[in-house]
Amino acid sequence: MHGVSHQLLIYASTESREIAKMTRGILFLGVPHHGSRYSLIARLMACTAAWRGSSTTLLEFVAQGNKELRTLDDRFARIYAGRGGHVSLVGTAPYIANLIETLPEGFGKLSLSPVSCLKVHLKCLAVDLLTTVLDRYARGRRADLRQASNSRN
Amino acid sequence: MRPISVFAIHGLGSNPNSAWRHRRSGDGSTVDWLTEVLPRQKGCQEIRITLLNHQTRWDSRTAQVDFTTHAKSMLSYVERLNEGKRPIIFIGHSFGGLLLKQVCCATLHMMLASKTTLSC
Repeated sequence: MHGVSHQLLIYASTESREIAKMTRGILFLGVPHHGSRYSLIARLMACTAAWRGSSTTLLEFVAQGNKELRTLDDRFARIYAGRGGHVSLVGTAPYIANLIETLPEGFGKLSLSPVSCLKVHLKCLAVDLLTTVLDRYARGRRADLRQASNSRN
Repeated sequence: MRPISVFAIHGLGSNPNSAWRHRRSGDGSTVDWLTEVLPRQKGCQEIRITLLNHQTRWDSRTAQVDFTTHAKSMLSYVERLNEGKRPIIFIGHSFGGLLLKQVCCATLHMMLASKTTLSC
């Protein structure tokens, strides 16, 4: 039994070493480091819809002030910024940044804007979503599609 | 320099088709800024973009897995998908970012654990 788990460990280690070694950059976009205030509303909605397979397990994790979330944040910072972590094992440190949206923007059905970014240990960058730039690309794509359908006709 | 692999992980209640898509307010035209805008940038022509899909619906048919299991399965997908051993850039949005942190911690944890065990 011990032999098997030992083998598994070596296997897992070689595999994840490859991933860790090849990781050059990690970008976090609007990550709720201390939980999201929207999670309460979502959890209440999920509770009322349990009959159709709704569950609050993942939502509870992003609840505001969740201890596990804080622990994860600390662990991550320790592993990547502290001594004896990523750098000593792999040799190089990846570029890590937190990108915080300063314009109100929602992705998908639920916007999970971060509660605060004050106690984040890592680099924190405030960016405006480059709406004008992306608008230009969207317009260009629409024109391309129209051109393609015209040439087909 | 070898071409880079980008792995994007979306947040709760989202999916890869809508999470990285920008909708123009005027005419409603859309553009996917990871798969359509990024490869057009200088030096990014040979980039490989993977939009990881994971079950994050919370309103119905929710995945019955805990957070760590979710992260571990994601790590194994990334391992399998990164053929050619390209350098990786991870992008995590919202809950996807938390998952990413867990993946990173698990990776390092496994390496540390094996280092300790093997040296014993």
